[in-house]
Amino acid sequence: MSEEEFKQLSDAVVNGDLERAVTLTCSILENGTSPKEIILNGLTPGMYIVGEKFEKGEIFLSDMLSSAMIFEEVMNILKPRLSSMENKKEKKIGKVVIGTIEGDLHSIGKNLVAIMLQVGGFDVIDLGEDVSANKFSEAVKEESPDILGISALLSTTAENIKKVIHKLKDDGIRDKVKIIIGGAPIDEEFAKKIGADGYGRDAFIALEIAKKLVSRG
Amino acid sequence: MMTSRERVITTLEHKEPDRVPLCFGNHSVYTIIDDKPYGYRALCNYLNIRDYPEPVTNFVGNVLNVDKRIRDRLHVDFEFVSPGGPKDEILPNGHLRVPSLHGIIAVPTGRGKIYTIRDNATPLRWAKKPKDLDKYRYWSDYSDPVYYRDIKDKAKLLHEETDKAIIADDTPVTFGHMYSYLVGFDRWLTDMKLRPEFYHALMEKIYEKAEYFTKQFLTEVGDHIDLLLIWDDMGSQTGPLMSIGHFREFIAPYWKRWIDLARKYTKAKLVIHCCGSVYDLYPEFIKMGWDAHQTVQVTAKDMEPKKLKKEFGDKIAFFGGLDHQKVLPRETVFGVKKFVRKIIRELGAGGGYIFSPMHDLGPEIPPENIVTAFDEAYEFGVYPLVQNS
Repeated sequence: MSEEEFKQLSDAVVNGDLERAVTLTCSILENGTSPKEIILNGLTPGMYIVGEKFEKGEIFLSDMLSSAMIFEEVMNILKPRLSSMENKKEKKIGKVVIGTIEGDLHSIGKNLVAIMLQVGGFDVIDLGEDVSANKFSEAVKEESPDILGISALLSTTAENIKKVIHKLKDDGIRDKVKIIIGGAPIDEEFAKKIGADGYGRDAFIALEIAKKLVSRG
Repeated sequence: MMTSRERVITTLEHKEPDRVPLCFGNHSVYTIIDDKPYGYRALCNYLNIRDYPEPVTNFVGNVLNVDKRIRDRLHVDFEFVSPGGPKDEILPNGHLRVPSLHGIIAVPTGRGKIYTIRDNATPLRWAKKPKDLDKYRYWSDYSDPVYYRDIKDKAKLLHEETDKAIIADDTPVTFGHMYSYLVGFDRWLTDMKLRPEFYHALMEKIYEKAEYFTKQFLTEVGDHIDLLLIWDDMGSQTGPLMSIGHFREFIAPYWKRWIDLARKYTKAKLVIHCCGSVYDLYPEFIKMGWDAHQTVQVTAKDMEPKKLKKEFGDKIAFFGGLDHQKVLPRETVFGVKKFVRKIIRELGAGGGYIFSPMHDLGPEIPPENIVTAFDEAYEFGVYPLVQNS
């Protein structure tokens, strides 16, 4: 597939043009391009630009949310095809349980990371938003994931991530899983301080870190 | 010495009264939460008022009947008038339907009687096309006399029998907020871009209802109030939620129409409550004719009081500024006093400033700090202000 079309799709995501993004996605699919390529080369680069622009203060929350909503709409078209075409033939490289921390109802960042991990070859179990330490711990026991991903958008809720780590320690399963955290109020220092194994500054980096963590075993 | 009412009106006309007026009390944006560990009950106990009536709260836990003895003790210059309304209804799943706000749904937080709005539980979330709005059954009926019962007499009595400034608040008039309560915060901000036709259809509907309510409400109380406040948040901690272009296209027209309408029915000063970092929006506030901006959230980006006063202080009055996010919960009594002096010096010069919390006082604020802040504002806020202390 031509790079030009991916670029157009990425632009449509950045500019908040829902109709164009959907039309482009359908026509690219018709040409036989795989959903995975569309996500990796069209959608995520667009969302990456949006994230950077938002961080620099060049665009506003309404613009960022609009792009995220387009991302989700396009993913709704791609997801069924993704699972039937690709999930079966590819061996999973690891399992991730992911969720937004207790008290926090924000889903965009967490969803982006979940999708990137899925596309990158992980089996992803999404616990949703406002997930308590107990629920995270239960999921680790039941699913035995390689990685636990925790997201927070608010500085007040980021503090709750500590509770999850304590709970895993109390339940004697902290060593069984690697923990990656991310979200606006979180940085490398915070991640280290609370004893997480990795900090994903954005969805791309989260995928890289996840891959590294599972390859180390 | 001026009366409270003279003090407030003088300052809103950008002249120095005898002292900075103080506001705290019964209504939604500058009251106190009834929750632990501190909250309303701890404040009452701290002031040795034990026989206070059981607090009446709205669905987010704000106390709507702060005892008059507390308001007097805190030197408050205001009395409050608000409409009535039908009772909220608890649904079988434990959610709350609020009929006075077009049947919006509030979800329990697990903390006492405190509810919150969740995007995925909003009642009109399924609507994507203008015609969908006709299928919705819960539009509020503002012709119901329950909204206006006794308020004319109350406002008139307060106006004639007290010398306080009368502020009308806690009305169902809000635009962006109502939109987000009906279809979700995310939809409010993205429909502007992705579904502009639907956006304006829903906003028109919200406006039409607000207009009807405002006419009825102000026909009753318009002659007896000094201020009228509505709330509509446009800022986050770090900046406006949308670009100025989007603000002008999707918010400003509705605000402006409402301002022009309200002016026909009352001589009261019009106040917009708008949280967060809204420095970039001040020129718009001024252009469309707001008399005062409530919150002045000094903890948000670009909201340095000195800068705001210098650039906009002669065109719009400031109302708020008492930091409930960092100073009140965390500072010592000394730190609180220092902050209060600074904010009064920076916003108070030449009038145009009403001292009040930026927002509701949360349950983590020790009562001692609340009382200290108001006492210090009362003592230090005497004109002419002392500039070096």
